[in-house]
Amino acid sequence: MGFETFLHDVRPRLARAFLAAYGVERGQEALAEALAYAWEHYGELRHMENAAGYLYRVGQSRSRTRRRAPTLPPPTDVGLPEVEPGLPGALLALTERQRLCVVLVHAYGWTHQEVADVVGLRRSSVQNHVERGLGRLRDAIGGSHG
Amino acid sequence: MADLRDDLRVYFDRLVDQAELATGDPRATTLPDRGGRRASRLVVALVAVGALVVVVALFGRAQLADDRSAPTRDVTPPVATEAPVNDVPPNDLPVVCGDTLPEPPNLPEGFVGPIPGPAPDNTVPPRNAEQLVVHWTDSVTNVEWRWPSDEDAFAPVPQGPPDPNLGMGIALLGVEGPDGSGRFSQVTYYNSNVFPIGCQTISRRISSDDRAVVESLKQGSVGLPFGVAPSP
Repeated sequence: MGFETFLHDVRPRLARAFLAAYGVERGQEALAEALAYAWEHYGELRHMENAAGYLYRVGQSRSRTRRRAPTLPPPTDVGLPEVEPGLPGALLALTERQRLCVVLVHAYGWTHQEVADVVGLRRSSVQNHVERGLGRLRDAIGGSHG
Repeated sequence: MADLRDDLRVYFDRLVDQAELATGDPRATTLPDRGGRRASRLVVALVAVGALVVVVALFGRAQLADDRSAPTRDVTPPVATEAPVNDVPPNDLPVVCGDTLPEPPNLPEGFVGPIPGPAPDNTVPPRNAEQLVVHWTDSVTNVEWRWPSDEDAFAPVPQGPPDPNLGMGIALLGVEGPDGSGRFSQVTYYNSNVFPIGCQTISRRISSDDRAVVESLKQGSVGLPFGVAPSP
Protein backbone atom coordinates (compact mmCIF):
# COMPACT_ATOMS: atom_id res chain seq x y z
CA MET A 1 0.00 0.00 0.00
CA GLY A 2 1.44 3.37 -1.01
CA PHE A 3 1.37 6.38 1.24
CA GLU A 4 -1.41 8.00 -0.79
CA THR A 5 -3.64 4.98 -0.34
CA PHE A 6 -2.76 4.74 3.32
CA LEU A 7 -3.57 8.41 3.78
CA HIS A 8 -6.84 8.05 1.92
CA ASP A 9 -7.80 5.27 4.31
CA VAL A 10 -6.82 6.71 7.68
CA ARG A 11 -7.12 10.46 7.25
CA PRO A 12 -10.93 10.79 7.21
CA ARG A 13 -11.24 8.55 10.25
CA LEU A 14 -8.62 10.48 12.17
CA ALA A 15 -10.10 13.85 11.20
CA ARG A 16 -13.53 12.83 12.47
CA ALA A 17 -12.18 11.33 15.66
CA PHE A 18 -9.97 14.30 16.53
CA LEU A 19 -12.66 16.84 15.79
CA ALA A 20 -15.21 14.92 17.82
CA ALA A 21 -12.85 14.61 20.77
CA TYR A 22 -11.10 17.95 20.80
CA GLY A 23 -13.12 20.39 18.78
CA VAL A 24 -11.75 22.53 15.99
CA GLU A 25 -8.44 23.99 17.16
CA ARG A 26 -6.84 21.12 18.99
CA GLY A 27 -8.52 18.68 16.65
CA GLN A 28 -6.74 20.26 13.69
CA GLU A 29 -3.45 20.30 15.57
CA ALA A 30 -3.80 16.67 16.55
CA LEU A 31 -4.64 15.72 12.97
CA ALA A 32 -1.64 17.65 11.64
CA GLU A 33 0.64 16.04 14.20
CA ALA A 34 -0.63 12.56 13.42
CA LEU A 35 -0.33 13.01 9.66
CA ALA A 36 3.14 14.51 9.91
CA TYR A 37 4.18 11.54 12.03
CA ALA A 38 2.61 9.21 9.46
CA TRP A 39 4.67 10.74 6.69
CA GLU A 40 7.88 10.52 8.70
CA HIS A 41 7.28 6.96 9.89
CA TYR A 42 5.28 5.38 7.11
CA GLY A 43 7.80 2.57 6.77
CA GLU A 44 6.91 1.38 10.26
CA LEU A 45 3.21 2.21 10.19
CA ARG A 46 2.52 0.23 7.02
CA HIS A 47 3.22 -2.99 8.91
CA MET A 48 0.94 -2.24 11.84
CA GLU A 49 -2.42 -3.93 12.14
CA ASN A 50 -4.02 -0.83 13.64
CA ALA A 51 -2.10 2.10 12.26
CA ALA A 52 -5.09 4.44 12.60
CA GLY A 53 -5.29 3.65 16.30
CA TYR A 54 -1.60 4.25 16.72
CA LEU A 55 -1.80 7.57 14.90
CA TYR A 56 -4.76 8.61 17.02
CA ARG A 57 -2.56 8.08 20.05
CA VAL A 58 0.26 10.05 18.43
CA GLY A 59 -1.99 13.01 17.72
CA GLN A 60 -3.47 12.82 21.19
CA SER A 61 -0.08 12.78 22.89
CA ARG A 62 1.63 15.37 20.74
CA SER A 63 -1.15 17.90 20.91
CA ARG A 64 -1.38 17.71 24.69
CA THR A 65 1.45 20.20 25.16
CA ARG A 66 -0.89 22.77 23.72
CA ARG A 67 -3.92 21.54 25.62
CA ARG A 68 -6.89 23.84 25.58
CA ALA A 69 -10.59 23.57 26.10
CA PRO A 70 -12.37 22.10 23.07
CA THR A 71 -14.26 24.55 20.91
CA LEU A 72 -17.06 23.97 18.45
CA PRO A 73 -18.42 26.88 16.41
CA PRO A 74 -22.12 27.75 16.29
CA PRO A 75 -23.79 26.11 13.28
CA THR A 76 -24.57 29.50 11.78
CA ASP A 77 -20.84 30.34 11.75
CA VAL A 78 -20.15 27.41 9.47
CA GLY A 79 -23.10 28.11 7.20
CA LEU A 80 -25.56 25.66 8.72
CA PRO A 81 -28.50 27.67 10.11
CA GLU A 82 -30.75 24.62 9.88
CA VAL A 83 -28.75 22.71 12.49
CA GLU A 84 -29.94 22.82 16.10
CA PRO A 85 -28.15 25.86 17.60
CA GLY A 86 -27.75 24.20 20.98
CA LEU A 87 -25.87 21.23 19.53
CA PRO A 88 -22.27 22.51 20.00
CA GLY A 89 -22.90 23.55 23.59
CA ALA A 90 -24.56 20.25 24.40
CA LEU A 91 -21.68 18.32 22.84
CA LEU A 92 -19.10 20.33 24.76
CA ALA A 93 -20.89 19.53 27.99
CA LEU A 94 -20.19 15.82 27.45
CA THR A 95 -16.96 14.20 28.54
CA GLU A 96 -14.35 13.85 25.85
CA ARG A 97 -14.98 10.14 25.44
CA GLN A 98 -18.76 10.48 25.48
CA ARG A 99 -18.55 13.14 22.77
CA LEU A 100 -16.13 11.09 20.71
CA CYS A 101 -18.19 7.92 20.91
CA VAL A 102 -21.54 9.59 20.29
CA VAL A 103 -20.31 11.46 17.25
CA LEU A 104 -18.47 8.56 15.67
CA VAL A 105 -21.33 6.13 16.20
CA HIS A 106 -24.36 8.31 15.58
CA ALA A 107 -23.03 10.82 13.07
CA TYR A 108 -20.80 8.54 11.05
CA GLY A 109 -22.28 5.13 11.64
CA TRP A 110 -19.11 3.54 12.99
CA THR A 111 -19.59 0.29 14.81
CA HIS A 112 -18.63 0.15 18.46
CA GLN A 113 -15.71 -2.08 17.53
CA GLU A 114 -14.45 0.40 14.94
CA VAL A 115 -14.50 3.15 17.54
CA ALA A 116 -12.78 0.90 20.05
CA ASP A 117 -10.01 0.07 17.58
CA VAL A 118 -9.21 3.66 16.76
CA VAL A 119 -9.42 5.27 20.16
CA GLY A 120 -8.09 2.39 22.24
CA LEU A 121 -11.14 1.56 24.34
CA ARG A 122 -12.94 -1.69 24.98
CA ARG A 123 -16.07 -2.24 22.91
CA SER A 124 -18.18 -2.39 26.04
CA SER A 125 -16.72 0.95 27.17
CA VAL A 126 -17.65 2.51 23.85
CA GLN A 127 -21.20 1.28 24.26
CA ASN A 128 -21.41 2.78 27.75
CA HIS A 129 -20.05 6.12 26.58
CA VAL A 130 -22.51 6.20 23.69
CA GLU A 131 -25.52 5.45 25.88
CA ARG A 132 -24.62 7.94 28.58
CA GLY A 133 -23.54 10.62 26.13
CA LEU A 134 -26.63 10.27 24.03
CA GLY A 135 -28.84 10.49 27.08
CA ARG A 136 -27.18 13.69 28.22
CA LEU A 137 -27.34 15.11 24.70
CA ARG A 138 -31.07 14.46 24.46
CA ASP A 139 -31.64 16.00 27.88
CA ALA A 140 -29.66 19.10 26.96
CA ILE A 141 -31.22 19.69 23.59
CA GLY A 142 -34.72 18.86 24.76
CA GLY A 143 -37.86 17.97 22.99
CA SER A 144 -36.95 19.25 19.58
CA HIS A 145 -34.90 16.10 19.02
CA GLY A 146 -35.56 12.58 20.04
CA MET B 1 -33.36 10.68 17.06
CA ALA B 2 -33.09 10.89 13.28
CA ASP B 3 -32.96 14.67 13.49
CA LEU B 4 -30.20 14.57 16.04
CA ARG B 5 -28.20 12.11 13.96
CA ASP B 6 -28.70 14.22 10.85
CA ASP B 7 -27.62 17.36 12.67
CA LEU B 8 -24.52 15.62 14.01
CA ARG B 9 -23.60 14.30 10.59
CA VAL B 10 -24.14 17.58 8.73
CA TYR B 11 -22.36 19.61 11.38
CA PHE B 12 -19.29 17.38 11.65
CA ASP B 13 -19.05 16.88 7.91
CA ARG B 14 -18.74 20.63 7.62
CA LEU B 15 -16.10 20.81 10.35
CA VAL B 16 -14.16 17.96 8.77
CA ASP B 17 -14.21 19.68 5.40
CA GLN B 18 -12.83 22.81 6.98
CA ALA B 19 -10.20 20.90 8.95
CA GLU B 20 -9.07 19.03 5.85
CA LEU B 21 -8.55 22.31 4.07
CA ALA B 22 -6.67 23.77 7.00
CA THR B 23 -4.45 20.75 7.50
CA GLY B 24 -3.32 20.26 3.93
CA ASP B 25 -0.74 17.74 2.82
CA PRO B 26 1.21 16.19 5.70
CA ARG B 27 4.34 16.15 3.59
CA ALA B 28 4.22 19.94 3.54
CA THR B 29 3.12 20.36 7.12
CA THR B 30 5.19 22.63 9.30
CA LEU B 31 4.40 22.01 12.93
CA PRO B 32 4.71 25.30 14.74
CA ASP B 33 6.22 24.54 18.11
CA ARG B 34 8.47 21.60 17.48
CA GLY B 35 10.99 23.53 15.38
CA GLY B 36 11.07 26.23 18.01
CA ARG B 37 11.69 23.71 20.75
CA ARG B 38 14.50 22.12 18.77
CA ALA B 39 16.04 25.51 18.17
CA SER B 40 15.73 26.36 21.86
CA ARG B 41 17.42 23.11 22.80
CA LEU B 42 20.23 23.85 20.36
CA VAL B 43 20.71 27.32 21.78
CA VAL B 44 20.77 25.96 25.33
CA ALA B 45 23.29 23.31 24.32
CA LEU B 46 25.53 25.84 22.60
CA VAL B 47 25.38 28.18 25.58
CA ALA B 48 26.23 25.32 27.90
CA VAL B 49 29.19 24.26 25.78
CA GLY B 50 30.37 27.86 25.59
CA ALA B 51 30.10 28.27 29.35
CA LEU B 52 32.04 25.05 29.87
CA VAL B 53 34.82 26.24 27.58
CA VAL B 54 35.05 29.53 29.47
CA VAL B 55 35.16 27.76 32.85
CA VAL B 56 37.84 25.34 31.67
CA ALA B 57 39.90 28.20 30.24
CA LEU B 58 39.65 30.25 33.44
CA PHE B 59 40.45 27.23 35.58
CA GLY B 60 43.47 26.42 33.42
CA ARG B 61 44.77 29.97 33.74
CA ALA B 62 44.32 29.90 37.50
CA GLN B 63 46.22 26.65 37.73
CA LEU B 64 48.96 28.03 35.53
CA ALA B 65 49.20 31.16 37.73
CA ASP B 66 49.41 28.98 40.82
CA ASP B 67 52.18 26.92 39.30
CA ARG B 68 54.19 29.98 38.37
CA SER B 69 53.71 31.75 41.71
CA ALA B 70 54.50 28.77 43.89
CA PRO B 71 58.08 29.26 45.17
CA THR B 72 58.72 25.71 46.16
CA ARG B 73 56.65 22.63 46.04
CA ASP B 74 56.87 19.28 47.69
CA VAL B 75 57.05 16.62 45.12
CA THR B 76 54.89 13.71 46.13
CA PRO B 77 55.15 10.56 44.13
CA PRO B 78 51.95 9.66 42.36
CA VAL B 79 49.78 7.12 44.09
CA ALA B 80 48.30 4.37 42.03
CA THR B 81 44.56 3.98 42.29
CA GLU B 82 42.46 0.90 41.81
CA ALA B 83 40.18 2.63 39.40
CA PRO B 84 40.52 1.38 35.86
CA VAL B 85 42.00 3.92 33.53
CA ASN B 86 41.34 4.42 29.84
CA ASP B 87 38.96 1.50 29.51
CA VAL B 88 35.70 3.40 29.91
CA PRO B 89 34.58 5.24 26.85
CA PRO B 90 33.35 8.78 27.47
CA ASN B 91 29.58 9.13 27.49
CA ASP B 92 29.48 10.96 24.21
CA LEU B 93 31.41 8.31 22.33
CA PRO B 94 28.94 6.45 20.12
CA VAL B 95 28.80 2.76 20.93
CA VAL B 96 26.93 0.20 18.88
CA CYS B 97 25.52 -2.29 21.35
CA GLY B 98 23.19 -4.19 19.05
CA ASP B 99 20.44 -3.95 16.47
CA THR B 100 17.96 -5.68 18.73
CA LEU B 101 17.51 -6.06 22.46
CA PRO B 102 19.47 -8.94 24.00
CA GLU B 103 16.17 -10.60 24.88
CA PRO B 104 12.75 -9.79 23.42
CA PRO B 105 10.51 -8.23 26.06
CA ASN B 106 7.69 -10.32 27.39
CA LEU B 107 4.88 -7.85 26.87
CA PRO B 108 1.20 -8.43 27.50
CA GLU B 109 -0.97 -9.26 24.54
CA GLY B 110 -1.92 -6.31 22.39
CA PHE B 111 1.42 -4.57 22.23
CA VAL B 112 2.88 -3.83 18.82
CA GLY B 113 6.59 -3.51 18.15
CA PRO B 114 9.47 -3.17 18.06
CA ILE B 115 8.95 0.23 16.49
CA PRO B 116 12.21 2.08 15.88
CA GLY B 117 12.64 5.36 17.69
CA PRO B 118 11.38 6.88 20.93
CA ALA B 119 7.81 6.40 22.11
CA PRO B 120 5.55 9.17 20.79
CA ASP B 121 5.17 10.75 24.22
CA ASN B 122 8.89 10.83 24.99
CA THR B 123 10.44 14.12 23.95
CA VAL B 124 13.99 13.04 24.74
CA PRO B 125 15.73 12.22 21.45
CA PRO B 126 18.19 9.35 21.08
CA ARG B 127 21.64 10.35 22.28
CA ASN B 128 23.21 9.45 18.94
CA ALA B 129 22.59 7.41 15.84
CA GLU B 130 24.28 4.35 17.33
CA GLN B 131 22.00 4.07 20.36
CA LEU B 132 19.31 1.42 20.02
CA VAL B 133 15.96 3.06 20.78
CA VAL B 134 12.82 1.00 20.19
CA HIS B 135 9.36 0.95 21.66
CA TRP B 136 6.24 -1.17 21.83
CA THR B 137 2.75 0.22 22.19
CA ASP B 138 -0.83 -0.86 22.65
CA SER B 139 -1.89 2.64 21.58
CA VAL B 140 -2.41 3.74 25.21
CA THR B 141 0.67 2.46 27.01
CA ASN B 142 4.18 2.72 25.62
CA VAL B 143 7.24 0.70 26.65
CA GLU B 144 10.50 2.12 25.36
CA TRP B 145 13.98 0.61 25.61
CA ARG B 146 17.31 2.37 25.17
CA TRP B 147 20.62 0.51 24.83
CA PRO B 148 22.91 1.85 26.13
CA SER B 149 20.77 3.82 28.52
CA ASP B 150 20.37 7.54 28.31
CA GLU B 151 22.41 8.60 31.31
CA ASP B 152 22.25 12.27 30.51
CA ALA B 153 18.50 12.29 30.39
CA PHE B 154 17.68 9.95 33.25
CA ALA B 155 20.14 10.72 36.04
CA PRO B 156 20.90 9.29 38.49
CA VAL B 157 22.16 6.19 36.77
CA PRO B 158 22.92 3.35 39.18
CA GLN B 159 26.62 2.89 39.70
CA GLY B 160 28.67 0.07 41.11
CA PRO B 161 29.13 -3.58 40.37
CA PRO B 162 26.21 -5.71 39.27
CA ASP B 163 24.56 -8.09 41.67
CA PRO B 164 26.99 -11.03 41.86
CA ASN B 165 24.18 -13.54 42.20
CA LEU B 166 22.22 -12.43 39.22
CA GLY B 167 25.00 -10.91 37.17
CA MET B 168 22.62 -8.03 36.90
CA GLY B 169 21.56 -4.98 38.85
CA ILE B 170 18.12 -3.42 38.65
CA ALA B 171 17.21 0.11 39.66
CA LEU B 172 13.51 0.84 39.68
CA LEU B 173 12.77 4.54 39.80
CA GLY B 174 9.45 5.78 41.10
CA VAL B 175 6.42 6.46 38.97
CA GLU B 176 6.33 10.10 37.96
CA GLY B 177 3.37 12.16 36.87
CA PRO B 178 0.96 13.07 35.77
CA ASP B 179 2.95 15.44 33.60
CA GLY B 180 1.44 18.35 31.73
CA SER B 181 0.01 15.89 29.27
CA GLY B 182 -1.61 13.73 31.91
CA ARG B 183 0.89 10.92 31.42
CA PHE B 184 2.52 8.78 34.08
CA SER B 185 5.98 7.38 33.45
CA GLN B 186 8.52 5.18 35.11
CA VAL B 187 12.11 4.31 34.23
CA THR B 188 14.02 1.16 35.15
CA TYR B 189 17.75 0.64 34.65
CA TYR B 190 19.27 -2.78 34.16
CA ASN B 191 23.01 -3.27 34.60
CA SER B 192 24.88 -6.38 33.56
CA ASN B 193 28.54 -7.20 33.21
CA VAL B 194 27.73 -9.66 30.45
CA PHE B 195 28.12 -6.92 27.90
CA PRO B 196 31.09 -4.73 26.94
CA ILE B 197 31.72 -1.54 28.84
CA GLY B 198 29.54 1.14 27.36
CA CYS B 199 26.71 -1.34 26.81
CA GLN B 200 26.17 -2.57 30.34
CA THR B 201 23.13 -0.47 31.12
CA ILE B 202 19.76 -0.69 29.40
CA SER B 203 16.87 1.56 30.33
CA ARG B 204 13.18 0.84 30.06
CA ARG B 205 10.59 3.61 30.18
CA ILE B 206 6.90 2.80 30.67
CA SER B 207 4.36 5.52 30.06
CA SER B 208 0.61 5.53 30.16
CA ASP B 209 -2.47 7.54 31.05
CA ASP B 210 -3.10 5.10 33.86
CA ARG B 211 -0.79 5.01 36.89
CA ALA B 212 -2.01 1.52 37.80
CA VAL B 213 -0.93 0.18 34.41
CA VAL B 214 2.54 1.66 34.84
CA GLU B 215 2.81 0.20 38.33
CA SER B 216 1.71 -3.19 37.08
CA LEU B 217 4.17 -3.34 34.19
CA LYS B 218 6.95 -1.94 36.35
CA GLN B 219 6.96 -5.03 38.54
CA GLY B 220 8.61 -7.15 35.91
CA SER B 221 5.83 -8.45 33.72
CA VAL B 222 7.46 -6.64 30.82
CA GLY B 223 10.46 -8.96 30.98
CA LEU B 224 14.12 -8.44 31.51
CA PRO B 225 16.56 -7.39 28.85
CA PHE B 226 19.40 -9.76 29.70
CA GLY B 227 17.44 -12.97 29.89
CA VAL B 228 18.07 -13.41 33.60
CA ALA B 229 15.06 -14.00 35.78
CA PRO B 230 15.05 -12.40 39.23
CA SER B 231 14.88 -14.52 42.33
CA PRO B 232 11.33 -15.46 43.31
